[in-house]
Amino acid sequence: MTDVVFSQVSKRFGETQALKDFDLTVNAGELVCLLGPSGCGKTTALRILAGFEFPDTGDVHVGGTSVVHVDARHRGFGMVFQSYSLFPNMTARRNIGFAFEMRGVKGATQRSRVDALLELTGLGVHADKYPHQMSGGQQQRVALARALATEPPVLLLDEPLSALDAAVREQLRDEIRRLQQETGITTVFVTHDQHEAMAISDRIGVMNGGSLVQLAPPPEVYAHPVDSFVSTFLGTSNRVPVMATGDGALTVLGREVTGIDPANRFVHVRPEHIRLVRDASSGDGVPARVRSVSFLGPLTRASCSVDDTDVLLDLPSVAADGLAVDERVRVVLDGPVTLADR
Amino acid sequence: MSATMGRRLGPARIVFLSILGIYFFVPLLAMGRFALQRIPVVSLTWGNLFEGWSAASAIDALTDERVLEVTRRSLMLAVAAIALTLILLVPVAIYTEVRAPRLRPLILVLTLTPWVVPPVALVVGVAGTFRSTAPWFLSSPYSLVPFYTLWALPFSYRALDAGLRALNVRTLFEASRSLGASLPTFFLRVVLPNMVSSLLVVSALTGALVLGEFAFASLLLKETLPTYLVVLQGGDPRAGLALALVVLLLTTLIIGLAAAALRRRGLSFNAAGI
Repeated sequence: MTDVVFSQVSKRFGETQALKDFDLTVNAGELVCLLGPSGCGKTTALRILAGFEFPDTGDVHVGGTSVVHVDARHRGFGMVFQSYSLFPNMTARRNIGFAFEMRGVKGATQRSRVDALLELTGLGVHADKYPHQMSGGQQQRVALARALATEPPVLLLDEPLSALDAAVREQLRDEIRRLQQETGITTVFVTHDQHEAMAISDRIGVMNGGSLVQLAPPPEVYAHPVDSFVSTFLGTSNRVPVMATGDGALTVLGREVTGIDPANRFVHVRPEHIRLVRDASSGDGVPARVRSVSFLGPLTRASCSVDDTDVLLDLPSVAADGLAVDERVRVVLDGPVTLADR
Repeated sequence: MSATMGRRLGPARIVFLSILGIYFFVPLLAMGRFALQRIPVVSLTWGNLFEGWSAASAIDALTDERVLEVTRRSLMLAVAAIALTLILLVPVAIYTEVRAPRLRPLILVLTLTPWVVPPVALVVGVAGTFRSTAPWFLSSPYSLVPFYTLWALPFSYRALDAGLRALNVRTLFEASRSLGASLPTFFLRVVLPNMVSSLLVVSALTGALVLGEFAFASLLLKETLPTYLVVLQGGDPRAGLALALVVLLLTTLIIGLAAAALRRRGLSFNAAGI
C-alpha cells in the first residue's frame, strides 16, 4: 500500500503561478478527487505526480520515497487521460499487451493476464477492435485496463470522463470506483465536475488559485465548507443576510441562529434547508415573492426574492403544485447554516 | 475524400468542374495529338481526331539511351531527396509537437522561406560559398539533393505536421512513458506505424517535385530528366512532348498508387492536410 504526499510544491509557467505551496496527503488505498475550476492547478499537481512536469520547489513522496527526480517511465504509475490516448495502430488487446511488454511480461503469461483484464472490464467482445472502431466509453475502458494492467502502486486519472456523454459517464464512474475499491489502489482523480467528485471520492480536495483550500470527505465538504469559494463551488448556496433583533439575538430568514460571530453579516444556506410556506398570512419566517419555478422531478426549485436578496430553495414537487410566479409566500430557515461570511 | 464525392452535384458545381476539366484536358489532348498522331500539325482537325495514332515516337524516346540514363539519375535523386527530407524533418516535427509546441508557428514560417528566395539567388549564394570552400560538392549531381529538400520544405513539413497533429502525439507520448516505454520504443512502435500515411504523402510529393524540377538543375548545369526534356524538345519536338506525356502519366501513377495504398489501410490522402 502506497501513500502520496505533496509538500510545499510550487510551479510557475511564465506569468502564471499554477501551484503555490501545495500540500496534499493521499492515504494508501484512498481515492482523492482534486476538484476546482479550470486553471486552479489540479492538472498541474497530477502531472507533477505523474512525472510530466518538474516542480520549481517542494517535494513529492510516494510510499515514503521522493519521486521528483524519477523519470515518468520508471515511476510505474497507471495513468488515464481525458483524450483516451490509446495507440491507434493497436487493437484493444495489443494496447493492454503493450503495458505488460514494457514491464517484461511476455508470451502465455501476458496473454492470460490480458484476457483476464478484458474480462474484468467487460471488453471481451471488443478485444480485437482498433480504437477508431470503438465508442468513447469503450476506448476509455481499454485505457483504464491498460493503466491497471501491471498493478501499479498509484492510479492517476486526468478528467477521464469529461469527453463522454452523460449515461456512459455515470456508468464508467461507478466502474472506476468498483475497480479502485477491489484493487485498493491509491488513486488521484482530477475533475471539474462536483457531482462526479462527490459520487466517487473518499475525500475531495477542493483547489483554488494553485492551493488546496479544503480536503475532507464529500459530506463534510458539503455541510461544512471552509470558505465562501468552497461553499458556492460545491453545490448551490444562498448568501443571505443576518438580522440583529433588539435584544442582541441574530436571526436568519425568521429563525434565531446561535454560535455566529456578530461580525458576520451574511450566512450561507443550502436550498434544501429553506422551507417555503404557501400561506402568506402565516406568522412564520419572512415574506417573499416567487420569481421563478423550475420542476426538477421529485423536487421543485423556486427562486424567491426576500427584500433585495434572491434565495433558491428546493421543495417536494407535490408541495409545489400550482406555485406561480409573483405569488406571495413566506420562507423560513429550516436547517443548519453552512458558513458564516462577512 | 469520399465525403466530397458523396455531396450532391448542383448545377454550379457541374459548371465549375466542367470548366476546370476543360482547362486541364485541352492542353493534354493537344500535347497527345501533336506527339502521337502521324499527321502534320497544320492538318490536325476535329475530323481526323481518331486517325493515325501511333506510340512510335514515345517508344523511340523511351528507348533512347540518354533518356534512360537521365531517368535513372532523376529517380536516384528523388530517392536521395526523399531520404534526406525524412531524416531531417521527422525528428524535428515530432520534437516540436511533443516538447516545444510553442515553436510551431515559428517553424511553419521558417519552412516557407525557401519559396521566398528565388532559385537563382539560392544557387548563386550556395555556389559562391562552396566553390571556394568545397568545390567537389558542386561537381557531383547529388549536390542537387539538398536544394530539392529545401525546395520541398514548405509542403513536406506541413504534411508531416498535419499528420502528427491528427495523431495527438503529445498524449500518446505521455501515455507510452507512463507505461514504461523508452523513447526509441515510442518512435518505432507508436509514432512511425501511425505516420505511414503522412510519410507516404511526403515521399510521393517530394518525388514528384524532383521529377519535375528544372530551375536548380539547369542553374547548376546538371542534366536531369526535366533539363534533358528541354534539350530533346529543341531537337525533336515530337519525341520531347511524347516523353513529357509519359513522365506526366508516371507521376500521376505514383501519386495514385500511394493514395490507393493508403486507402487500403483505411487511411485517407487528405489526412496529411494537403
